[in-house]
Amino acid sequence: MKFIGDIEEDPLIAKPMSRMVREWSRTDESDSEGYRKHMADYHRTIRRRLFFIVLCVVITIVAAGYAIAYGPLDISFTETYATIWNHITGNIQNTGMDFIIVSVRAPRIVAGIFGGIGLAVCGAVLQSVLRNPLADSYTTGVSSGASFGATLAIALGMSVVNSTPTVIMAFVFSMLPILAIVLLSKHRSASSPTVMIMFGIGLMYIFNALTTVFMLWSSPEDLAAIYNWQVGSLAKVTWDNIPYMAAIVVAGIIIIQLLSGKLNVLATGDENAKALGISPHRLRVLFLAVTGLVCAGVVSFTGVIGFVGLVTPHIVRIFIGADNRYLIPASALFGAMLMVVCDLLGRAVLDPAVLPVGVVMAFIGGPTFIWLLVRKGNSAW
Amino acid sequence: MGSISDLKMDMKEALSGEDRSDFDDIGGVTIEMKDVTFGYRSGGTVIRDINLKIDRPGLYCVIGPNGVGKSTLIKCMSKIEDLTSGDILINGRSIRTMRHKDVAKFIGYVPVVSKDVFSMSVLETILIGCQNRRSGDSDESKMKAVYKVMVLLNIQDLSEKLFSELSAGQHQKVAIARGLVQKPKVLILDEPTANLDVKYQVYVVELLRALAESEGMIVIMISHDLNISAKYAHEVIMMSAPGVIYKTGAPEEVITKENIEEVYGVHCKVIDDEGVPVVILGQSMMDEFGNID
Repeated sequence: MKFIGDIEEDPLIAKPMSRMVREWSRTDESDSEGYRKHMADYHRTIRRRLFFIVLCVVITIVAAGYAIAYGPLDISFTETYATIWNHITGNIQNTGMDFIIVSVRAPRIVAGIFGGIGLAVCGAVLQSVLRNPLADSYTTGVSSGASFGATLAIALGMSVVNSTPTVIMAFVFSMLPILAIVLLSKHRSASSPTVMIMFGIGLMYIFNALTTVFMLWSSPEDLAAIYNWQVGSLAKVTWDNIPYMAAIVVAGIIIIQLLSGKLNVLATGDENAKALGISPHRLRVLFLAVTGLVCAGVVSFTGVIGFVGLVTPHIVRIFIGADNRYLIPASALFGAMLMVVCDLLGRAVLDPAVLPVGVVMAFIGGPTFIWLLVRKGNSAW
Repeated sequence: MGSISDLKMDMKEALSGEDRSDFDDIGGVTIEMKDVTFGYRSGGTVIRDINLKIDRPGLYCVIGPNGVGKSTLIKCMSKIEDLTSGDILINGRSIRTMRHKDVAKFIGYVPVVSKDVFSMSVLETILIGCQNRRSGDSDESKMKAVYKVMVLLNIQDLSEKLFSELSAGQHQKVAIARGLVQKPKVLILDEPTANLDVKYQVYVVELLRALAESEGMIVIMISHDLNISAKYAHEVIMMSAPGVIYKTGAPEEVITKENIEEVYGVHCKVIDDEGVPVVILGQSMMDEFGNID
């Protein structure tokens, strides 16, 4: 070896460079002004993100109050929360009011909150895991699978007595695409994120075609039921369903949030992930399985609700960036907010006609999203 | 593909915050490649029967024409690609038995810079490099490590900027910072001077050489610039078709007129500038049909 010795005597290295390299590992920067400023900047960024999250929570709570208050029987905002508080504390004063608010109107709103959380987080995770801005429950085939499952249950007359068979069939069929993608990923050549999402799109078309076939063979009544299921609505969720939906969503989100640091690594690509000590294939399969479950857990009960999963993460990224440790909780709460607000608007705008929540979201969210894209440029992605 | 038990282990570690590793205390590092062969299932062999031992600190430049397996060589060393046959020993332990996180304790790999789909800030991008630090490390100590490496590369003012908004030179600085924040003993870089102007090219190789000398690191980089390699490398590894090591040694032993003409198929003149070989390229060795391969 030609030269390896005192860095000071190496004529090839500029003096400032050798000084900086020596100082790099030998000085403790914790007292320097630069470090304090650096930490102050970082904490400001964190505070800004927390503010965004808190804002979403506040808007959700306010909107939920109005959403419950809104209906044929006029109930005030404060009355709504007073009744809910009395219900929780076991001090029910007006049983009629309690019945309307807690038993009739609240399930829809609670379903909207958990549905929004679940679908938005699934979108954020799938986009990072598959490294594709278009990834969501549609493009991975999960929604189409659920749709086909429900169609099959209705068309075969399984749901005459109650809707449980529809939910079960939707759940089973929505897990099929995820299972297929996981099995596919065992083949090394087919395990790249791009192949996975194209595979998902392929499955989506197959399921849609099958759904169409069954719809063609259905009676007009079944057809109406199928159509009703496909547009997605919060109206059909009851208190009996919510524990299942909430349990799946909450468990899924806890797992995802705990792994969000690793999700950041995965989002930078397989080579980087391996270099940083992570096995990308295993982690990707884990994320796909968890998001598949969460997504299925929501759409089985609500039907297919579009837009929230695809667009929420993009809007949130504009405000707080792409770091999944913050993107996941912020998307969750923004998704909940969006669902509750849009469901309220869907009932209020054309009263007494009711627009499905997915339709309202597309009408309001679509133009907003396009405006944000154009205004901000595409530097965030 | 991992098994269910692997998944369970990942979950357990994530939930308990544990980060088990057999490699917490690391001294100097020896990398020994023994008869290493790698080929894709679909295509032919990319590198074959590579034997190479790197055990001293220094800047190592891997040179050679396109397609001779330079990137594959360093990816095998970093366990980014799994070997087809042969073995790589890192401090005497087979890379085949090590997990990615074990390898990452020794080796920092800096791939060719590519933009991420969703761009994070410079600070967050570098912070990702702390992934493999012991979980006992507080956020504070991670932030300090990130700050120190940003000062080293003089990018502390960019910390809030999005990675996608940076210039090519700044991208490379951030990529190197992410590699360095792992505190590896070995830093492996895939073409760190690609797409850079001469100012940044010199900056990067000066930095890498200084790291080798001051920190006692083994720094291995791929380069297409023979003169940069000749001037700054402590040792040059020249690869040639079909995926073999043609010659290794001090720059003046490897970067010679004969070797370049044989390996690259380009006429050249090599002159001596105070012990440093300087390559002046001539015509390509084309056949009468215009083929250069």
